[in-house]
Formats: sequence, structure tokens, C-alpha cells
Amino acid sequence: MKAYLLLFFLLLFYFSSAQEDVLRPKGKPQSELTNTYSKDASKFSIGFEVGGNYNMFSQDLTWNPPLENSIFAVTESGSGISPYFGVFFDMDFTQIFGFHAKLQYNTISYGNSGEGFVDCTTFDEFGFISDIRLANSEFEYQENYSYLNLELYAKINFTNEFFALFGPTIYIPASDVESEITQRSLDSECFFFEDPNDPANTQVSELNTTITDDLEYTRIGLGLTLGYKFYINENVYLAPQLHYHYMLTALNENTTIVDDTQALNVYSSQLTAENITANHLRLSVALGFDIMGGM
Amino acid sequence: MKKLILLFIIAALSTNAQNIEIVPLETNSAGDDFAPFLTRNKSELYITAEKSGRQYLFVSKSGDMNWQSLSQLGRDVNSGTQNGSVAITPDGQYMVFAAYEHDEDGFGRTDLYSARKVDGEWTDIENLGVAINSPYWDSNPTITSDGRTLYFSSDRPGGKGNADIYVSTRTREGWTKAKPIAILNSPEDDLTPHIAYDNETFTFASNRAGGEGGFDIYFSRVKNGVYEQPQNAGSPINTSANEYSYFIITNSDQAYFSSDRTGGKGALDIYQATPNPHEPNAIVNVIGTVTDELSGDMLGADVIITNLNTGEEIGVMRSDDEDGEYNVVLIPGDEYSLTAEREGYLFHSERFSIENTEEGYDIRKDIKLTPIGSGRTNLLVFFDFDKFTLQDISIPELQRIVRFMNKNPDLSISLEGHTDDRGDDAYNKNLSQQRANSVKEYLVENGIDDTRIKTVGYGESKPLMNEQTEEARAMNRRVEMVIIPAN
Repeated sequence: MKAYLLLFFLLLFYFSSAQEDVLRPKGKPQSELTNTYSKDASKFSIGFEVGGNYNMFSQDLTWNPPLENSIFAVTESGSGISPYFGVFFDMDFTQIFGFHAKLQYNTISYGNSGEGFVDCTTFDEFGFISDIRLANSEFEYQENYSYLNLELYAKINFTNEFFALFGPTIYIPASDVESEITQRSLDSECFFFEDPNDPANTQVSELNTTITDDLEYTRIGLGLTLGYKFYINENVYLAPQLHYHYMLTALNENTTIVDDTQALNVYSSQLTAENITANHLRLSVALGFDIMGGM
Repeated sequence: MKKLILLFIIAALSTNAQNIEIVPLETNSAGDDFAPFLTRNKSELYITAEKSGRQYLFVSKSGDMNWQSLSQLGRDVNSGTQNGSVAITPDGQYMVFAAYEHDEDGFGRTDLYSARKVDGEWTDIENLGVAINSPYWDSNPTITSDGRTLYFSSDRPGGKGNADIYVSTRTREGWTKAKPIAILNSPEDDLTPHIAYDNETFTFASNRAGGEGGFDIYFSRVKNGVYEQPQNAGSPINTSANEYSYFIITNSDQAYFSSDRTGGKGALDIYQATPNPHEPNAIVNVIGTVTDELSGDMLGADVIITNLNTGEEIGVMRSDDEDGEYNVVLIPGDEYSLTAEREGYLFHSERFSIENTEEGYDIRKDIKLTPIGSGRTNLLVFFDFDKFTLQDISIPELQRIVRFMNKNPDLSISLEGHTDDRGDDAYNKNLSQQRANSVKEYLVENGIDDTRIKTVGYGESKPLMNEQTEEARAMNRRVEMVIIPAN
């Protein structure tokens, strides 16, 4: 985050000196830049934006007592791509500074997969337990949910095309969280039980579970955007943009569960998840329409 | 004693102040408005104006120089991040302007570009090239009335420091490498040069020491490539604020300039100064339309003016495709030829004189072009008195006939010689025949098949005018080219 901020302010410094014009090689003197910006000719834009998120989920997991090779370790991180779309309003107050607001429907999706050990109980032909050992299995998860984003930015125009946005983003829950979990046994002799009350007869090598939960919290983040306008004609432009959203508030409260995936062979362990967050790198294209005042 | 001296200095300054009325234009806005340019017939005023932090070219049209509303030029011209500072040739067909980050490639930073008027729109944008432009800032163009000399400002190294004024001339091979004008330049910024239509009266802006403050307007003159030492225009043209872009209005006592003095609408505004203290020489505006003789349609045609005293081709311009109008500025006291050419038509040639004048005026010369297939045209060929040897001054016209014949290989022509009424009929008939033969001989020597050319000598038998004045006789002494119909 620090690196992004440093780059932002370096660009601001480089581009905020007066631009040359057809009258003066050094452009208008700085003291005249804001004074002469004409309100009569102030400009605002409205438009549409579509794009994709690259979501980066992370949480800190702690086992107490420590438990090695837990299948839940894979949930320490996750990534994924998801789309979003929305509308925006953009207004320049001066040649350099302005305001930008977005309202977007933002889908978040990420997941991960990994291997770990779980208790494996094998049964004989009579249905009695014949062996208990650890077996290798794969754990895969995918989480999907959506927000309504309200993003309010200060805008800086480095040139008439190249701009940056910086400001708060508000993520308002717009759906439940849907978690899709897949567990696969990598041991040909070990299976999952679809019905724990009838394990011998409900053995499967792959178990799929979907869990729906409330997406409870409105989240606040900071957004930083770099964009460039390509004018199609005098008043219409396409603006590809690169965004980074750093979430200031957690995705969820710290959570503690019991990890008993190795309880029979090792022990049960208390698993605590802290600093649960998801940041986003976004790439989008906006279609903007300039609406100017007359001279 | 000191107090008396101070009062004396104040009184002296007051008496030196010029009685000039300075009035802002109605088109001024809260943003920068500068670089005024008034075109032919004073019917269009081009300005550069700031809109939402960017500079664009605008035009205002009026029949009585009462500028009210502005129209922004199209995106062909205005596609840069900054666009403006325009110069247009008197025929209104060719423009030079400056732009920063234009869609058309440049050499880096602000460059000079040209545009042509096609069907009423400025288009066909081209960078003026490496002889004019540089990787540095090149802007503020102004062009002489014959379109042959370009002045502009540049902050490239090699001048006296900061931005300097440069000059380039146009040859058949293109623009010459631009050179700084040392006597005009200073170590500070020297901007917005302007050359009046007399091609002598020169103005520019500079923030050199010794002015009224900020950028001031300076006056100079140029004749035969020699520039006068620039003089500060003084008050009230100049103030402690910034003044730029002093534009002298042809054949009038007025000028436009830009200033950010207090009392305007804010930032730079355009003002009208009356009277203009730096008067140009009187010029004669030759204006007219080119039309199809049969249909009356307006035509875009190449119009060429040649100074018959010096043999110098003064200007080559094109009449407007839409309204057929052309305009050329000439210096009084010389004799000129005018020709008009267009594909598919017989070319037109004539000669005329412009008497010396102190006032300046307009001459109207409308040209009717005849479609090929029929028709006749008077040839601008000259002979010594009572001789049939062609004068060297006839060569441009003879070359024109050669080009015309080569472009139309199926045509045949008749060259008809005529004389005035003085002398013996038989002698005049023989002289006129020999003159026609001289023209044919030149054409054949330059590759035209002699079977395509007939010659006839009519002597004095077919006068254009029956009066016995010298003017009428001059009209009657001629060689005409007549198209022989194919059948």
C-alpha cells in the first residue's frame, strides 16, 4: 500500500506543474491556474463502467495446540476473478482537481485448494472399524458474494487524459455468502461419509457441500485508481482504469472453531481465524459522456 | 528641486502617452482569449480560447466586424490537448496553427501544422516538418500575404535564450530551415510575431527588460530581409500586465491585441485599439470569384499572380471550392498578370496595373472559365514593339499552354494573332501571323505535335474594342488561343 501511495504522489508532483500551451512555452503561471478556471465552462461527465476484480482473500490461522497438515490451512488465502458493473459521475472543479463517484454492483469470488491429512476410518465387511489412520485428502473451497459499492474519490488530472482517483469506498452487502466446499480423498482406501450415522453405507470419495451464510458487515476501504481517457469524439471517451482497493475493515469478525479433522489420530485443536480480509485489484473500462457548459 | 524634477518627468510621460481607444471584444470569456486573426474581407475572426483548461480554435463570422458568437472549429484541427494561434493566407484556403499533443504526429511538444479548407471545413492536417518544427516548443505562427515567409516562436537552443522568433521561406522544395532573427530577439521570451499584409510591418511580444512590465508589444519593420531595431509600443497599448498577439487590420486604423490587464473578463482578453499607432503600408486587395462561364457554377481553381515588372510569381492560391472566391494582397505601383487554371477548363489570363495609393482599396476581378471543348482565351504573351520575337516574360504563359496541351492530348488549338489599328493592313496581318507562328514554334520546340496547332493572323480586322484610345489599342494587340472542336 505504501508503494502505491508513493507512486501516486510522485506522479502528482510530476504532472501538476503548468502544462505548456500554444501561447507560452512554459504554460500559464501557477498563480493563474485556479483563478482563471472558468465556471461557465466547467465540465462534468456521466457514464458506465464494467470491469473485473482480482480478489485477494487472506486470514491469519492459529491452531492451539499446533496441528500440522490440517486441511483447513488452505483457507489462509484465496484468490479469484469476478465481474462488476456500474455507473459513475465525474466533475472537474479546476484544470487539475475534481470529484468522482461510482455506484457499482460488485461481485466477489475467490477460492483455493490444497492437501492435508484427515482421520481415515476403514471398515471390514461386517461394518466394524478395522483401522484408523491419517489419509491424504484435498480440500477445495470457493466463496461468492456481492456488494453494492459506493465509491467517492478526489480526482487529479495529470493531463487532460491521464487521471488518478483516491478516496473511500463503501461496500454494502448485497447478497449472502455462498461457500462451496469440496473434499476429495486421495487415498483409495479412505472415503468420506455422506451420512455420519450410516458411515459404512454412505462412503464417497468426494464430498461437496454448499453453505450459505449472512454477509453481515458493511466494509470501508480505500481506493486508488489510475485511468486514461481515449476520446472517441469531442464529448465521448473510453477510459481504461486500474484500481486497487485496500479494505480498512475486516470481512468478518475473528472466528474460532474446533478443528477435529485429525482428532482420532492426533487431537482436536482450537482453530482461530483473525484479520479476515479481502482486497481487490480491478481492471475496468468506462464509457464516459462529457457534458460541458457553454462559453 | 527634486520635487520639481519628478513633476516634470510625470508631465513628460503624460504628454507622450498616445490617445488610443482600447475596447474589449464582446466575444471575451472568463478564460484566456488571445491570438486574434482577421481574414480576407474582414468577415471572419479566428481566436484561441481556453475552455475547461484546454485551448481551442474558434471562429466568429460577421459582415460588419461586430463579433458576437463563436463556433469551435472541428476535431481535425482541435484534436490536440492545446490548439490555437492561427495564421491564414489571404485567399482563406491555407492555415498554419500550433498544437500540443495533436492527433497528427509531431516532433515533440508543441508543433506547427497546416490545414486546408475543403468544402468549407478545415481539414487535411499536416505537420510542417523538420525544417520548421523541432523537439522543442514551436508556436505562434504568422505568414506573409504571399504565403512565402513564415515567422514563429520557438524555445529551441540556438537563439538568444528562452523563446525566440524564427523565420523560414517557402521554396519549390518546401520550407527552408528556420533561423532566428537576431536583431528582434532577446535573452528573455520573444513571442507572438505578426507580419501585416504589406509584408513589412512587424509586431511581437517580449518580456525583456525596459518595458512597461510583463510582456509588452514591440514594433519593427522588415524590408528586403533587413529588420529595424524593435521599439516598445508604449502606453496605452502596453501596461504593467501582459500584452500579446498584436494583429494589424489591413487598410484600417485599427488593431487587435490580447492583454490580461485589469478590467477585463478575467485572464487574457482581446482588445481593439483605435487608432493603431504602427500603421502598415497601404495594400490593394484583389478579390473576385471564379465561375463556370456556361453554367455559372462557382469553381475552385488555381489562381496565380505574377509581378510583370520583376517576373516574380507573387502568389499561387486556390479559389474557394464553395463560393469560388479568391483574394490576394498586392503592393501598389506595379503591373501584374493574373491566371486561373482548373482541370477540364481553358485557363484564363489577363494583365492589370495597380497605381500607387496611400489609402489602400479593393479591386474586383471576377474570372469566368470556359469548359474545354470550345472557347477561347487571351494569352499573356509579349513582344517588342513592331517585332514578333517573344519576350522572356512570356515564358510562364507559354509553359502554361504546354502543360495544358499535354494534359489534354486530344485537343487541337488555333493561335490567332491580332494587332491594333495603327499601320498598314497587310503589314499588320503579316505581323500578327508571325507572332502567332512564334508562339507555335515555342510550343513545338517544347514537344507539342505541330499538327495540333493552327495559326492565323487577323491583323486589325477583329478588334475587341473600336475606340482609338491607348487602352483600347492595348486590348486589341493580342494572341488568342482558340479550342478547335473535335468534330
